[in-house]
Amino acid sequence: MSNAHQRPLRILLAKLGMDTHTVGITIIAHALREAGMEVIFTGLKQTPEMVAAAAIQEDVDVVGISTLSAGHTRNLPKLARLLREAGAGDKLLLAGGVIPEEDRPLLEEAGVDRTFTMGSDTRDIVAYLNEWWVQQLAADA
Amino acid sequence: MNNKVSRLNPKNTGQATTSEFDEEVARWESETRGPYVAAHPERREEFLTQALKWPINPLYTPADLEALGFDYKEDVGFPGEYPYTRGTGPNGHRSGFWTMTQVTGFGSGQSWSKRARYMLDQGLSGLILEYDLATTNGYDSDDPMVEGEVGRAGMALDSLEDLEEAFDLPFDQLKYLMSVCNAPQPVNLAMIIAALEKKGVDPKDFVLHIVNGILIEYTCVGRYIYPPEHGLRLATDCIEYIINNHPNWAPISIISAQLQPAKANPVQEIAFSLAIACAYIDATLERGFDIDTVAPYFHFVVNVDMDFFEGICKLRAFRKCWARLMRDRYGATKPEAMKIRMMTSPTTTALTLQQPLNNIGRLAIMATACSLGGAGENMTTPLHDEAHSLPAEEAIRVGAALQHIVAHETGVAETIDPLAGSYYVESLTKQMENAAFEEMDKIFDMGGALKAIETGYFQRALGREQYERNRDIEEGRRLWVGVNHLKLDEEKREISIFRLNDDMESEQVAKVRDLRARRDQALVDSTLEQVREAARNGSNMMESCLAAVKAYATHGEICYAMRDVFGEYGSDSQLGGI
Amino acid sequence: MDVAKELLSGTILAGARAIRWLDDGDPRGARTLAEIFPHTGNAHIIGITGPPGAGKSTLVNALISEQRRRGRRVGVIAIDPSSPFTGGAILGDRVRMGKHTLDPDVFIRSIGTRGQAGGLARSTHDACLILDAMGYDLVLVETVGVGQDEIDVVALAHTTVIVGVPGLGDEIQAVKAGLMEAGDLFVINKADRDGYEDTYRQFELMLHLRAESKALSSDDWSPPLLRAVAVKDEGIAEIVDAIDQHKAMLQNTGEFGLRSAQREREQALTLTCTEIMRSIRQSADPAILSAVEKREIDPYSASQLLIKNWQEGRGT
Repeated sequence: MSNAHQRPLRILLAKLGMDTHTVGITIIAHALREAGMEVIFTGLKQTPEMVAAAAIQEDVDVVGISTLSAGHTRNLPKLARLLREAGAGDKLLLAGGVIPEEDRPLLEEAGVDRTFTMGSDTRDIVAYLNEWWVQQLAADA
Repeated sequence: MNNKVSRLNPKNTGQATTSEFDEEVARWESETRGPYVAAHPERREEFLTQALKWPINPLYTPADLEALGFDYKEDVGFPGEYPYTRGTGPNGHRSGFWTMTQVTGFGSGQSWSKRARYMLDQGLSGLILEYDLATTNGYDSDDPMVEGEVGRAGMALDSLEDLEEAFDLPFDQLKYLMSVCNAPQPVNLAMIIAALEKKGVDPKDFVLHIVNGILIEYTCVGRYIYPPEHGLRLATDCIEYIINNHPNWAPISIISAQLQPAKANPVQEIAFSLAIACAYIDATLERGFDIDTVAPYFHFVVNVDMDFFEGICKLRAFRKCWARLMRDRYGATKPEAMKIRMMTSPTTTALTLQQPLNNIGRLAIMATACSLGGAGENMTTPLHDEAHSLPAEEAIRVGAALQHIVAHETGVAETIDPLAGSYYVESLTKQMENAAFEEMDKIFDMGGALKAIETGYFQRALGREQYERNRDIEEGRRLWVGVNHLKLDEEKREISIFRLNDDMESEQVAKVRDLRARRDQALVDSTLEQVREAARNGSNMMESCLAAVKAYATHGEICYAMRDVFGEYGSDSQLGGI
Repeated sequence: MDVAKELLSGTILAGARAIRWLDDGDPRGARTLAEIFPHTGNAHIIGITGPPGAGKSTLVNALISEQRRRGRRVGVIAIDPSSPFTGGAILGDRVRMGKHTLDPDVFIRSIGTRGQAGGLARSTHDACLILDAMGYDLVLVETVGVGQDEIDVVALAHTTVIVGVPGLGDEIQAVKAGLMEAGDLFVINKADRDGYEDTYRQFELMLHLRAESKALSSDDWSPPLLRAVAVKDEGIAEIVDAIDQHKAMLQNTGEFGLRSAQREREQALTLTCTEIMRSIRQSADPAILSAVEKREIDPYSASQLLIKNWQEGRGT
């Protein structure tokens, strides 16, 4: 078992709000598992409070949010704030889905580390996460 | 009823018959094609259909049909006659084209009304009304669960007052309204009925079409509230109420076009959709109706993807499977029960964010496939820049023009079912039919669609397809222009999403709170208790829902009253693939 | 952050981090565990196991609600399988427990098996100790869907609940062979489904056979067979009653402390074995192994040599 004693990246995937399009998040979950990551799923129709609480209980390294309704300018900043306030501001916060270019500065300002738009290649997401994780492990060592 | 449907077709024995063509094909292969291919290797290792990934032969001949036990009369027949493969109408599109429709719905009741008026002014007589996610998930606009969602994906609907405003319309022009509000369907139906009454609209002179599609919500869309058995009961209540009280209305649509974007392949689409239809039919028959009365009320929305022949054959197989199912499983005798009612559409999932003008080409091809597949009673076309923004006027115009181009310029609608008899088309249609019945048997064996949902069978099947099909694209097995082929590296992509001013949400919240302060609370409380009582005792929910909406109980309050009895379903039904 | 101190005072962030360290084999985990170990031994560890599709997560969700109604603080460890090929995992059990996410007195942790067979993850035992030290009154351990041999949870838990479900004919056979002998409580979930009566009779028969067998029967406890429809909250209070009775019995007979003690003793031995195995594998002389590959020396003789070399290597 080559990976048994390695330290896999743990990522929480969630959908905020009432939007229930799951095709994208399902594909990403499978791709991340294939890339050796532990994907924790919280289900749909989550509030920022619920995602923050789950991310802390699960001690994940990354929180990935998929959003296809238009609530992202409200609920993503709120999630970032809740994580910071709970002492978990070090988690990487990613957002994906339909996020217009002009909203990105606002989201980055609010603490979203990276956005992936709809149709992003899962291999790009995996590569980005792997690179980040290697840096984290190196910094820890 | 217990007979396996796939065995009911006497031709479906799976035994190949020999044919003089076999020899001829072998000769051609060795003398003519073989040497050529040796010198000119094929451009791919294998040729497969896009979604089903079925191998495509280099050539189809009568031998392929014979091997499948194809029989013209049994498998194709004549237009307007069983098994309706060549169309449910007797004259194709020669007497008249399919009806060409488009979609709308956003904002508050007032803003919807304004837009609806605009569309009616453009000469449309039918509209589709979609609601925001707060409404479709059974919440009022001021519920903390839905902050930021109000009025975004469709109209916000909190109470009868909102619909009274929305229905400030010329009902002498509006003759057809489709309402998409699945999980809270009885509440929504009651609200519309009450609003029409207030407007003095004669229900006989108007067609209300409710989608009432809760089972597909559990399968892949996700807008559900109660556990599936209760969802099915509420849907059945609405069907029963409409058949009894408004027999000219349309109580149910099976939106197969929602399974397709969730990556159901054509066989799964047909099998899942029809198995889901059977769940509603079985529940409705239990209320004492007969199949010849019930079946004609069922309506399907089916879209086609870019694989031209998969799309066309899917539409043909859909008609045939429904006819066979109604005749053989249910013993329907009236032609009306065996003719599927269908609306078709090109799929939005074939469109790309990249190089959006390419989408016009895709839409034209898919609209042509819809037409060649029989089109159904209506066709609706999405817009080529849908991924970028709310429909711009030009996109709306192009979308409408597309259907006219297909109808008037291509000639594809001048004869009935022009592709019938094509060795490839008939082979694929028959293979799809056979595979769909096998899949249906599997579902019926596990106890039907409700069980398939509760155990996550549908969801797991879709999850696998989603992952596999995405890999096809990422690994280049399927080329998609603009996505993994002919990409423009420096392309700047602008996605703009429709924005409402945030005031709209706070206004809607204030409005529903104001209503609660001024209505007769005692009356509301007692009608909500009636709702709970009906939920408990199993009687049709419509009467109590009508009483509650007329007392100005809010949409969310009525939904919560039912939550008290039915409970809430976990937020993960369509994640069964996980 | 002093993780040990913080988690002893119940800080979720600290407890979650300690479990992560232990799960990852980070040395800080073992150090933390050493500090908190004296404060453990209080929580009631309850294993929930059964075949895939029995509705274990939904049952756990309902059990959390009932335990909360009784005022208890609840820890949950939900285990899902990791992919044997990539090591990755999709951990989805908490989806069905979503309504407890915001309850400050419920802590839910998802863990992947990371190559461990037996229905648990390697770190399950450690995670239970952390939750115990954090002051949770009980820890519900939900195993992966198991067959007959995957019953490690029995050694871990004070009380093991075996969950069955109507209509899984073959699975029942698996339950019979392995789990029937081990369970303290039997629950048939989804009892409103067709085939419930048959399943009930099968379970009853097997429990009867178990009672007949001297080696397995006990004067202090005869395992109850209960029905539940977890998704509708039916039968849940009865299950918690039975769990409570089992705990009372364990406490009255002194078995509660005994089981905990045995568990820690076993864990010490398991850790020792794992470490020795690792050490032997690491130090094994490739020349000897290659001789086995070439059939110059048989595996038995080779193993004697390898052990001898290892012992000598450690001596020098």
